[in-house]
Amino acid sequence: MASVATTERLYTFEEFLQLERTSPVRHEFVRGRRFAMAGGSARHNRIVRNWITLLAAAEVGTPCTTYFSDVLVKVSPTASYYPDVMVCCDPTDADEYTKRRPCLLVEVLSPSTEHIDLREKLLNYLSLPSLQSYVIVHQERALVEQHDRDEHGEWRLRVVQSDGVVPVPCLEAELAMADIYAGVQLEMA
Amino acid sequence: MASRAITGELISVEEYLRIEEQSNIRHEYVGGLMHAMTGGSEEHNYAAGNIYTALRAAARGTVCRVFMSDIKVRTAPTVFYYPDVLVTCDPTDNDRYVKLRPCLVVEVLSPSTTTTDRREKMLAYQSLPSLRAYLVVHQDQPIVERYWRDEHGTWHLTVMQRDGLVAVPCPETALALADIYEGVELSTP
Repeated sequence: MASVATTERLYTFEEFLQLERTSPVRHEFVRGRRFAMAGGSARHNRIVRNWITLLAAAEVGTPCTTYFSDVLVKVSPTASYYPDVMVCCDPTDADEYTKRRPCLLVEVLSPSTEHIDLREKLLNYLSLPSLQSYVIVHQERALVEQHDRDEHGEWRLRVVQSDGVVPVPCLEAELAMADIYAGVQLEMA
Repeated sequence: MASRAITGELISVEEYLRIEEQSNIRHEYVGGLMHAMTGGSEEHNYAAGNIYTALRAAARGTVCRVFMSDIKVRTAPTVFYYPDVLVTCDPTDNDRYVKLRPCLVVEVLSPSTTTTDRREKMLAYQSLPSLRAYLVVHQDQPIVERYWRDEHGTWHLTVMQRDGLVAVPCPETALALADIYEGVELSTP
């Protein structure tokens, strides 16, 4: 057997964006490579829907807009993702496809992407100066891990369980866990 | 794959390092959270060991030092990993437990860490100005992905398959795929 050495293309962000506009599946962009995104469960979808509904109501009268699933966040020249839910309040963050200054990011965990949300995206999202809160939402039980900034701007972690509330600092709102999980069949109490 | 406890507590770097010195199992540290590392397979162990042995031999008489598995690399203030193989050629990079300026990092893929090695660690390692190459070594097929930085700082990807040589910048040598996979049970393509 002959040996095979191939030089593979690493894409620039601009090339990635160009491909993404005509691609039938969405990809995340990490260091010049494209990673296809899988579909999600009905339960994942329902939790995302609850978040959008609650945030859309809370954003009325603010400069903020809630996006979901299809809008990219560019966290650095080498990484870009499609967050499950994103709130942007900066009117200058006006690109049609790519946001750079979100104030809230939400990921609903799935088994196949859990470690990306908990490690890679945690690191990359928290590096965004505009970000006030990164919320990680479990889908099999009522459990939220929220990274937000304390009064000194340092990141801290809070865990919110069944009957708690999740503060959304950029909308000056609080979401009840009961509303986040409304209509969701949970596996554990 | 890493497992973790959901406590709502972020762990400081000092605390992590103290825990790690006394812990029976190794943990990676990402953004204030610890992730336990699992053991590896025979194939993983052999491939990593073969690379380590070849690089140790090549490093003899150079300033480069080669480590495996037990030495941490710190890629950011709140990020510590244990690479499968690590080379540092900077004599000032001399902490006994933690390296800051690796020149080469090698990760042998396992099913549970493939995504982390390809995405999160790719971003982390390639962000280090000292790094000249990152090798991603498959364990079930003779495939090595060689990510390397050219003299202008641009990263490239060359994929080696079946046999041939993988160029290594530090210590300056070339690894034969036959040597990397010596004694490794490969699945038939």
